[in-house]
Amino acid sequence: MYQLAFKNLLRRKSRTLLALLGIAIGIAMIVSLVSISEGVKARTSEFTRTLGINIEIVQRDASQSSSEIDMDIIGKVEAIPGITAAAPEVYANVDIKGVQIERVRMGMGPPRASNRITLVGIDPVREQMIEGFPTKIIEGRLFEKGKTGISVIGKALADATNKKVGDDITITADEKEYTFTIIGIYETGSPLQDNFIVIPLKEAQKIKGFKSDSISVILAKPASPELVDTLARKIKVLVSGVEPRYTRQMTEQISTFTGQMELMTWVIAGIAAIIGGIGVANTMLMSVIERTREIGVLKAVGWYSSDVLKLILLESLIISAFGATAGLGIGALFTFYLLPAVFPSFMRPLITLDLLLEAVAFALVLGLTGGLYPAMRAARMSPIQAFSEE
Amino acid sequence: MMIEAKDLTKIYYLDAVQVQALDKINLKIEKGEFISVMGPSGSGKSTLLHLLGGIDRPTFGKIFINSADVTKLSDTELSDLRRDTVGFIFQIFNLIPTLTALENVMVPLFPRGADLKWVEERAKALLSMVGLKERMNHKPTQLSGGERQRVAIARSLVNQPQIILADEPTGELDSKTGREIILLMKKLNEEENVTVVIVTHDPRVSELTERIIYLQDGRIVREERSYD
Ligand SMILES: Nc1ncnc2c1ncn2[C@@H]1O[C@H](COP(=O)(O)OP(=O)(O)OP(=O)(O)O)[C@@H](O)[C@H]1O
Ligand SMILES: [Mg+2]
Repeated sequence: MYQLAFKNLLRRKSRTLLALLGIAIGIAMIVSLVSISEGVKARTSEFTRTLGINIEIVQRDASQSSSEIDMDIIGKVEAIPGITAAAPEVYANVDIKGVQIERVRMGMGPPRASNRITLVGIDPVREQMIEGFPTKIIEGRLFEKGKTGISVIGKALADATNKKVGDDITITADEKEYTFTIIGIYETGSPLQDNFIVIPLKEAQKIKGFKSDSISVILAKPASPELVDTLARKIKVLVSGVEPRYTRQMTEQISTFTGQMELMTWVIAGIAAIIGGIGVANTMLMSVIERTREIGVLKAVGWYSSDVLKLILLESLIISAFGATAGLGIGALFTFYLLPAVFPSFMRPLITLDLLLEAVAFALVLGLTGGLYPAMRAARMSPIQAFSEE
Repeated sequence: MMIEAKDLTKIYYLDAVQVQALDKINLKIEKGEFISVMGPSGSGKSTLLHLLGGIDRPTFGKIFINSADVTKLSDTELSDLRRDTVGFIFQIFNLIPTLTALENVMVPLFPRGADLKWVEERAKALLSMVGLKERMNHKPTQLSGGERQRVAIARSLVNQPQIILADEPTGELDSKTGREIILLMKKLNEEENVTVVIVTHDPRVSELTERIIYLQDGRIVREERSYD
């Protein structure tokens, strides 16, 4: 039966190939689009996971580096019941001498290697109270309050600049050079934060041109994660001119975005695959009609209707199985070789075994459904057809 | 007694028109008979053969094969009958073009474990018997008309049927090859006691058979027996 099915398919090679290609393209689209969207999803969730549960208070409508708020807001925020601690941070964009750092970007487009990095000034005591990101030290230690000329840097930055604990790191801001001794390296897992350089608050304020009572953001630690919504609302009411931001809010926005992207991906890929399925149906229907007499012969020599049904379904399944295999290959090739060649900094696509299995299962289901009508039609054919003279 | 038809009637309904292809045929065929059916075109010869072999169902009347009522069988049981009891040989060489001669002979048993060694052994033996020992791996297009019809005969025998029904098996062959084919069937009939019914227009074919049934307008109008 298998050999008969195979031979039948080889009879009209180009037609079989066309149907096979239809399935292959559908599956390739599923594999590449879904793996890209999974890659984006994985990146963004990696991103938000490392942000922690702290509420970030910034100047309304400003970003971390453009925000400027009063230091004394810390007191107001700490006074809110449910907030256990608050810490100031100063964000500045500075240039680093001698190396090019590939910037982590959220979108598409060519990579932007530059020597621009983010400098963060912190109060080590307060930072420890809120368990902020620079406290995730993996080598050396965090600096103490009051010290100057020292820094901790992220693991990714350390790797990119090839620096170790004890080395000096020099940055420039407004054409002035500043050198810091690295006394610790931290790692958060966030590709963004792991490229930061962290120095004492006072020095950062000076570099940024802030007065000693100005900072960029305040991070407030809630007593428990469930309180975040309520606390953010309270901060908004009690402190004017600022905007509380927090991870869950961001996570939700991001997850609606990635959810929509995922749905779109599946819809587009699904349509492509269904067109492939229609291709199988069309090919098999033509083939069955062409073989009316042969099918009549098979029935005349004692094949059951169900045997004929099985034969045609087997043929459709073979088409879709080969189509799926080709599709997986094309899809993988596309996502891993072609795409990075065109957009080198494209989000790392993620192909999971689940996705592959799902794609193959989908192809087989398509093959079966595509073959069902032709198969039923063939099964219903009469053995008298074997005797008819066209 | 082997096959019996009682008041066998077949009416085709084409839109408003009725075509009475068979009209109350009564017929008995004994085991081991070698029969031909003759008659003008449209007289119902093919229709009769289809009904006897369980390829089509009668409008009225009954068919008994070994006293079992064939008209009561389900579609699946009819398939079983066609596979196990009846062997068909068609006018046009109805071989599967993609398969070799050997595979074509095995085809009836493909769904029932054709991978079984004995099926292949039997198919080979049958092809040798019809004189195609050297042609087993040829495709139908690589065979002559007579050779193809021999493959068809081998195929009809693969399941050791008790009855062979042949619809103008020599219609597409020259008279010499046709005669060889009929003689081959006669040999089978004599050596294995297979009942053979051949539909033909050709008197040179029918004169080789023991009994000739003449059909006209769906009725049996005459019978002849040769006693040689
Ligand atoms: N499927 C069908 N639908 C309608 N009418 C049919 C069908 N098959 C046969 N007939 C009609 O039934 C009658 C008998 O046909 P049948 O094929 O049995 O004749 P035949 O004796 O085999 O003729 P021939 O010698 O030309 O093969 C004819 O009038 C034919 O037109
Ligand atoms: Mg006929």
